[in-house]
Amino acid sequence: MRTMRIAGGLLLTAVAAAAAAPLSDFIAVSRAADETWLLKRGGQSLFVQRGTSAPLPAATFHLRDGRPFPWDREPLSLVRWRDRWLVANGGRNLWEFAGDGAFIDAVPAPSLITDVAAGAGVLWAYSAAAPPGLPSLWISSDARRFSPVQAAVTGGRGSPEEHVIAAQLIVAVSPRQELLFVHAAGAPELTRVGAGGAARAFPLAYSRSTARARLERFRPDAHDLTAYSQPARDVAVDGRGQIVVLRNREDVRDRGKLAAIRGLRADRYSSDGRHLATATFPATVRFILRSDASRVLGLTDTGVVVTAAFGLPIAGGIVP
Amino acid sequence: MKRSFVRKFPAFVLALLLLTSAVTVHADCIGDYNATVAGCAEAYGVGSASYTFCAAGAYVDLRYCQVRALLLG
Repeated sequence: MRTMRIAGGLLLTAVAAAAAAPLSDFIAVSRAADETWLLKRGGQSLFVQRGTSAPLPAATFHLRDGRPFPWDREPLSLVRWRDRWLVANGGRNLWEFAGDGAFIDAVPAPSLITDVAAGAGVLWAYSAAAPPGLPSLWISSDARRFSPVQAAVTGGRGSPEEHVIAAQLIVAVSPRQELLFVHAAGAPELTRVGAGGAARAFPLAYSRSTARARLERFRPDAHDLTAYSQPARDVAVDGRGQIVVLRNREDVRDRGKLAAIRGLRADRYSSDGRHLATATFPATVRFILRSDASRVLGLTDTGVVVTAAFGLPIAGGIVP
Repeated sequence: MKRSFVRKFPAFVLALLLLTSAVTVHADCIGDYNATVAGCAEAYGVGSASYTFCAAGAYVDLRYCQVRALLLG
């Protein structure tokens, strides 16, 4: 019966997929001071976005003979590391490419790496697939030798579902070379982890219903991922070291009724976690492109660049 | 008798199975119709695990990248 249900589910999924809005065109982002690099779905094409222009094709990941790089599975995360690219796709290697996208090397990784984040001279690698109790976070200064960082990240020790939810992180690197992370599904807080493993968290502005607030961790009676507390979609650090967090699924009161919004609000925080400002986008944003004191640029799910002005901070909370 | 019927009309039996399963959509399983899981090009899940979640109105076994896509799109 379970097989039947799954077969039926897959059919329904396929039908729904045909009618549904597409996933975001881009699957990974790497931000620099005045340009943002985006990896297209499929993992072959790198686009660059500058100013307020639309992203433009800039390079492809390819073998030395010019053929497209044959990914065994789609990339999950991308960073600019010095003059090269490093890509994580959930395997035991990081994939190293030249700036023009030519394949250089498969770098052995300490685990199945799902996320990478880089600062000036430091590379963080994270494994959402690391078994509970084993290291899931590593740091490196040369992208060759990785040292484990003992920090409590997931806390999930139960079913695979509990673990995979708790392990989903959105990561960035602070100017102090700390790893910043938010749980994609979990409590609305941003955690900073130092190279020694010391972790500090500060709260994020996030508006959610009472029901959503109860779903910070997996519950066996709640299999609908969209119902969970999902405080963030993206985290970025601007040139002044301030942190911008793009909120994910929120619940707000609209003319008395509870309404769901997604990826519409971005908040700016000082490096020590003070909530400074909030910007509201006109459409759902997938990635933050860049920001300054007055505005933030985002890329929508359909690849459109949108801008929102920062205004007074809009606090979060539980909406009854 | 049952086996011969199945052999004679496999397409009918499959269609019947799918229809039966289609009506087992649970009221608590709504999923996200916008964050389709079909665009996920992962050869196999990270760590080869799969996870039972709700997508597009039914319980399905999702691979790692599909879970990620449902959360983040």
